Amino acid sequence: MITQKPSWCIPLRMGGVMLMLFLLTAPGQLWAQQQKTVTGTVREQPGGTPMPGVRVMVKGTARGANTNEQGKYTLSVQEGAVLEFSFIGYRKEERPVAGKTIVDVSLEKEDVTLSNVVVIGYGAVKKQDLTGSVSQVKMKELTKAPVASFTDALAGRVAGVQVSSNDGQPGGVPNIVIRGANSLTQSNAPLYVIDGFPVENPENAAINPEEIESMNILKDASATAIYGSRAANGVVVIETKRGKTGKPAITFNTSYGFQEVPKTMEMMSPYEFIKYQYERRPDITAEKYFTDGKTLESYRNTPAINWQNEVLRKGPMSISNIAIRGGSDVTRYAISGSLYDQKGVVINTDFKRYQARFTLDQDIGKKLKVGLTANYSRLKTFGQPVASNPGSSSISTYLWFRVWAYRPLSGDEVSLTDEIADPENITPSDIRMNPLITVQNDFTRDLSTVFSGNAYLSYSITDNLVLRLSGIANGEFRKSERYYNSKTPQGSPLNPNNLRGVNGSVGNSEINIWSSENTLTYNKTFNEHHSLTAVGGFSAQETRVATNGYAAQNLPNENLGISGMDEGVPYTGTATSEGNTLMSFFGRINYNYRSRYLLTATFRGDGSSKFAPERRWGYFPSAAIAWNMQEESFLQPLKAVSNAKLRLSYGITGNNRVGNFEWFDRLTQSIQGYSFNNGTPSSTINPANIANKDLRWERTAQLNLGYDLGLFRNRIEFTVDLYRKITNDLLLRADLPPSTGFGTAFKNIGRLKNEGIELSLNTVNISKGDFTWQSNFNISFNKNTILELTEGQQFLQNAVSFESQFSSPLYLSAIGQPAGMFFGYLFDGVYQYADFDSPAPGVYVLKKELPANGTGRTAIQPGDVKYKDINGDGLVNSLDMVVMGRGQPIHAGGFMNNFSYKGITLSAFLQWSYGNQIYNANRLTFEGNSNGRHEMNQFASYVNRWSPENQTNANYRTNGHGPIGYHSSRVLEDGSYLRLKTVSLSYSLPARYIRRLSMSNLTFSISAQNLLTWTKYSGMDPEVSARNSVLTPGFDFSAYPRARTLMFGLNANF
Amino acid sequence: MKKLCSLLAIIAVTAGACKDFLDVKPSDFLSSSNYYTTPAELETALTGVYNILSHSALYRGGVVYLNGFEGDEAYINRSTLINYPFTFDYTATNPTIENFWFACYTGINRANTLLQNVDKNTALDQALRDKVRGQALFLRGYYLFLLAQNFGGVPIFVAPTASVESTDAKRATLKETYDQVLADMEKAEPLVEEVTIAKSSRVNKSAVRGLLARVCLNMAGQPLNDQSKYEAARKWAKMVIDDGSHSLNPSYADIFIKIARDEYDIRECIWEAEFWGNGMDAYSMAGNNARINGPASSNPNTGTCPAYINITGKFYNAFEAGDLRKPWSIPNFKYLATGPRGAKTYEAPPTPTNVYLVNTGKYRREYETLTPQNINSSPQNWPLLRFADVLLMYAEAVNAISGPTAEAVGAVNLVRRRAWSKGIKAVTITSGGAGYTSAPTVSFSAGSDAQATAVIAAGKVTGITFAPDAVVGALTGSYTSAPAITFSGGGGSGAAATAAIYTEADADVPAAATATKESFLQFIQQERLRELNTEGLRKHDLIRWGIFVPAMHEVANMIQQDVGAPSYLQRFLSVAERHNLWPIPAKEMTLNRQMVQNPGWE
Repeated sequence: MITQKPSWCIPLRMGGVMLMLFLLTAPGQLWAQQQKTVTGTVREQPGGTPMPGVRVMVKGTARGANTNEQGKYTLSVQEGAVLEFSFIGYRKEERPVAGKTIVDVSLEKEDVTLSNVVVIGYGAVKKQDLTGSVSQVKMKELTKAPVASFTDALAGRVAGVQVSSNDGQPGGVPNIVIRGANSLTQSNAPLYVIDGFPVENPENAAINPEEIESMNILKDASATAIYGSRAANGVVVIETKRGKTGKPAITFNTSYGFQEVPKTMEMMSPYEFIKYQYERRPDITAEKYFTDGKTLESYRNTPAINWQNEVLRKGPMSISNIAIRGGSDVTRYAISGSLYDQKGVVINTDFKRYQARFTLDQDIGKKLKVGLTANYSRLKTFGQPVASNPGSSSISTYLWFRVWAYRPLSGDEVSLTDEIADPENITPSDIRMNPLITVQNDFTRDLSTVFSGNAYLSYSITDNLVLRLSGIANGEFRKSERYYNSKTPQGSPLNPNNLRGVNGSVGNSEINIWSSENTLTYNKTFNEHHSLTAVGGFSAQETRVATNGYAAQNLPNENLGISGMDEGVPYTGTATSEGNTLMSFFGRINYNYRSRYLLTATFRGDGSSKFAPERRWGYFPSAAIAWNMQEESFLQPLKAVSNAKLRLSYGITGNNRVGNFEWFDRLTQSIQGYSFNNGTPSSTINPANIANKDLRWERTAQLNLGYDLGLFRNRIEFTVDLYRKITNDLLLRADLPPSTGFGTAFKNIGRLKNEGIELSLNTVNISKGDFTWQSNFNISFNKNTILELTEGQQFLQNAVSFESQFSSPLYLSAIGQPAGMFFGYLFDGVYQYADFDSPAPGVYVLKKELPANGTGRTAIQPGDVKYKDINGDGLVNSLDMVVMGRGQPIHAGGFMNNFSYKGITLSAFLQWSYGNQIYNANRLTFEGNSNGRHEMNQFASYVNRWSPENQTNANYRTNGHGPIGYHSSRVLEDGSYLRLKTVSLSYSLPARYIRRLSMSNLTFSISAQNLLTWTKYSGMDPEVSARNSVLTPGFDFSAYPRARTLMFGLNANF
Repeated sequence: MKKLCSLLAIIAVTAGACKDFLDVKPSDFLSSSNYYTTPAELETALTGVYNILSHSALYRGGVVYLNGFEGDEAYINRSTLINYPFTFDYTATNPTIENFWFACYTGINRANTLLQNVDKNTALDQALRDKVRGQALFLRGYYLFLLAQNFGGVPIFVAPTASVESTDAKRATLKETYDQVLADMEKAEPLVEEVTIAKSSRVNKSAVRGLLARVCLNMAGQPLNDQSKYEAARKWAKMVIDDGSHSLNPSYADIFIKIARDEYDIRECIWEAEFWGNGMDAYSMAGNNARINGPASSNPNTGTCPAYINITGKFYNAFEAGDLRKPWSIPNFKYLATGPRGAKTYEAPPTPTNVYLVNTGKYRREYETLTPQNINSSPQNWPLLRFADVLLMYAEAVNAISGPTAEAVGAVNLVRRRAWSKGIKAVTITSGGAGYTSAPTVSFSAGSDAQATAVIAAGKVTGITFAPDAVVGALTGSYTSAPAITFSGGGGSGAAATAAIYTEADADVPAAATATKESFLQFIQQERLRELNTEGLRKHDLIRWGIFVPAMHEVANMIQQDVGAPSYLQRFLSVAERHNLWPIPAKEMTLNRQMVQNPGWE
């Protein structure tokens, strides 16, 4: 046996070693008669660099050689032999000797994402042998997007994968939903399998997109069922880059650029503002603005303070990655690091990531391989979450509320930009503080440190049987810090609700996961044509979560910031700990006959601690068949058809995403008990839930029919998938009759259906000489239907929180309909003069036959808002609320075009969403001031409001808002959009210029994100869902504007 | 193969361990199986049953909002609050109604859980367990009583909800529901503490007895009409009266000043829903009493109150001269937006039109002692049972049984005499004097309680005006005999006047009212308005007397006469028979397939 020490400079000796290995492993070959010597050089394409270590084999024999340092090889071959040249990561080439003595070859780098091998759960299969619906993400294209996380660039890339991010907050986490939501109240996030380890809620931002070698999305049950228990929402399989045999390759790329907001809202000018205020409150407005002989006209040309510009900036952004990867035949390594630094477009918001990674693979002898991976990431998110109102019940803690509401002029000598607040306009429900100063003083910091290490051992017991043992430990430490000084709405003494003075809080959480995944793989071809791969395995996983934290108030030394927390008075503390375990057995058989008839069957059994012992185990089978029709003789005449595969699969997958101890009967202790005899309140303990020992796995049955068609040697690749998913035993946070004394309980009840169609088309439109044009188009339609809810329930109603008066439910999810439909009153324009009787001049009495708008009839005047009286009872009340629109798109997709000419590559990626609506709640407040707040600026669109001179139906008159708190179709807008999401232009210097710099590649690039958007939506951005959930989609209120990014980059490979 | 076998063996061994591996024990909460074993644990669980009283749907918010808003004495002046039933434009989906229903049943379930476990540790002292049991039983009965009043017959639960599956429950009849209330409270009565030990926050014997009287009166009245319960009502009220622990606070205003100061007066205030603190610590146990329903104030020194309730003309006109409950319940002042605590200006009596713009005034933040005051909450308790109520209930029960007996009239007189002014009733100018160039100083003999200024015209004193006062309306003093009045200064002389003072006879029930059973009942109905206004009792009093709808329409008529057709008219006009009960919440209707909706709400 040859033993080898790991070495970083193996390539130098590799040729000899390989030859020795070869001699040892291939004894007893007959040496044929007419031998001749063939030599040649193997070069890399493009560039022409000689490649050492390339395996050169005589086809059909076990004989071969490796190229030396100069890329040269020498072999003795028979006349008529064919040589095979292979090197990991490069496309295999074959050359017939055909009498030549010198056979030179260029090897082209193989695009991994286009590779023929697809990594699926617990193994990989040839693309041709796939039976399930698996989408491969083109990582090369995806990484052109200058974003923090792969999830930010995934939208529109893959059919059936819906990515919805709440807004543009740096560090925000988009939601990925595969083939529609299976669950109504629980998470719909897919299961992530990162380097073989399933994780439910990974910190996706901790993964540097540059580090991802391949990403495959398993969509149908045949593909996902091997992860049975938690796979109902689909599986994202991510393999990260590892070292490859070859000399150390250094990759360095860096880019720098900036982000800006493509659109801000047009606000009223000072003139329009005062005109509006005067209409609202003539007395107060005159007193304030019409002094010293000034009139409305005096403000015609008064400059406005543009508060939006004050809080927005051009946010610089930089991304840098460096990696060294290489290795010998037996030792492969990769070391890499990255830095992502984004300053948000809103001042004082940013996101940073530092990340380092190390991988090592070592072959020990012929049969044993070991490897390890270590990853460290540190994420820092800073800045107020713009779409929420932390630490206060006041609407003014929403950033955009403050910005838009603030007066555009002061009307006197007071400098609004310097003053901390607009003191005349502070009420308990509207803490109108200076938008700029408050943003500058906000301190919201979230730190997250993720450390993950995994190791594997793979042992070939026989040639056909491989044992693989692996383990991972993942630790995630999160810290959140909030500090509200006296210049923030939450800490200001000007806030009448603030009794805590300057205050702050810290929270820590620690999530530890370990897991072990072990498989035994058997692979054999019988009688040449029967190919069988069987995998069996066992896995176990444990998750522990612990949190603690406290808050302190009345911090005496403001200048100490968050570190002065110890000096304040603590007022609340939290500490929790919980955990869960999962244990699974699984197996899969892949069988095919001549790669023509394919069969896959999988089975998995999972036990979860989240269920009572009797209900703990769930079993998830699936089966799929596929037929590679192009192999059939009847298709042979159709020369154009290079691939035609029909796929059919059915299977059941599960979901256990409920709390860790939902089946237990729990008591919760609280200090908020009851005060007896004026004493400090006594603590209380109360039943928190009803024990449900019957709680069990949610099961989704999915049927998938797919067809892959490749034409002209796969220059045109077309895939269509039809699916139907029915989720049974829905793990639903089900409403209980309130007479039980409990609001909800987790029950396995309800059914949900998702059906859809996915189409994707990859084409090489032009490939002529140095010019190529490739396109990729995908579109997916998903229809989500609620089939059943908890006993007797016909619908769920959900409210979103923003303005307390608008707390009535905006969403309806009813049986027979998709989840999350908008529900409210239908806006019917504005009452016009014709709607009134006028018994005396200037007196208008609403005609008897016309319905009132929800306020008293007598109060209604021309110009007031009008709603449809659906049931015709003459009143507009809750019986007149109807479904007004849908939150889910009808279809969504992406269209990518890639042009390259010599070293120049241009790629443009369009992404769209069609048919969904957005509830633009900003307009409730800023287009008509529905809450009647004083001196609040409005959107410029409200200039076009009803008045005797302008009898429009677009907007109601000043003060004509009618009843407060009515959700109506007035602010429901078409949310469809088409977006030029990513554009990238790059230029690679020709090899001859860079060779002398010992470089193999030097590329300059310009890339842009969110460059152009076509939409009818009037808000800042149509890609918004500020309260994102299945039940409450498409809601916009004070969302962080999505930035347009422009980056200049440089990529160098050595 | 050998290797394979050993591998399988390893897997098998690991799998054998899986049973334990999957048994993750909770580390962050307790289970009922390992609780309720020590006195402290029982007390902590009992606290949870009490906690519902301070629920936002009950006395922290919902009921504070509702009191009066739904009766004939007051209405909510906000057009923006659309989620409350007081507009009488609500449906079964109304969240306030649903929350109320849910809170009561949460309390019942907590009580049931405790009652099921109270005897778990039999080693604990029986008396201690009984005390816990008594309070839990009473509170269970009380929450069921609130449900019966508002919804009629409802599902009765006497054991904790055990399963998420079989959650359908049938409505009991109203009689069955009330019988359960009575059974719980009667069982609790011997178990709870004596009055002498407890403060008003904990249920004591008088609280149970007084509430039993209230329950019995409700049973005797509409819609159950079980006349036999008057006797029981009389009995329970009498027990409270005879207990000896209770008497009326000599000052009506002081009852509420004490509440504002967080002082107990168990003689008068037998049971209160407790609120505490100002939210500046870890606790959020403060309430909304006086924060929502007091006189308007935006002055943080006084304590802020957005004042959501305005009075009706019917309420304003219910009082006679000398009744000090009027100036306390209907403020004659407005708080100033700035200035020291309690800074106010006095207002002239409102015109009939403007009466409807006056806030209710019983609960006032200016007397709070806890500072700083939270602008969004107050620590003021909510009176659940007052001795005056017991006296009036007693009179009503006796009257129903044997007519306006001396005993019955005496009880009402007790309540009225306490409320009556002992000051100057009237002043007669016996001589205007002459030569006054400015108003002379007016002084009163026998103390300086009264304060007044003289009114002069043409050199003569033509009358006197008493100084306004926020507590008693005007400073007419307190006398046992009529004081002498003297005028001094003002440049003139010779003015003289005599005074007459209020006597007990002025306070006492007039003879006409005691003529018949019916007339006395009507008098008691008005007396309860005067005495117990804005204490959350009015609507159900009107309902049990069977006059809720006419009473509300009476107010509507008054508004039309006094004001015309203001926006709040509609809510009084809208009241119909179906409003005697709230609809069963839509959520219950949907999820409980055995539930039947109330008439008029289907």
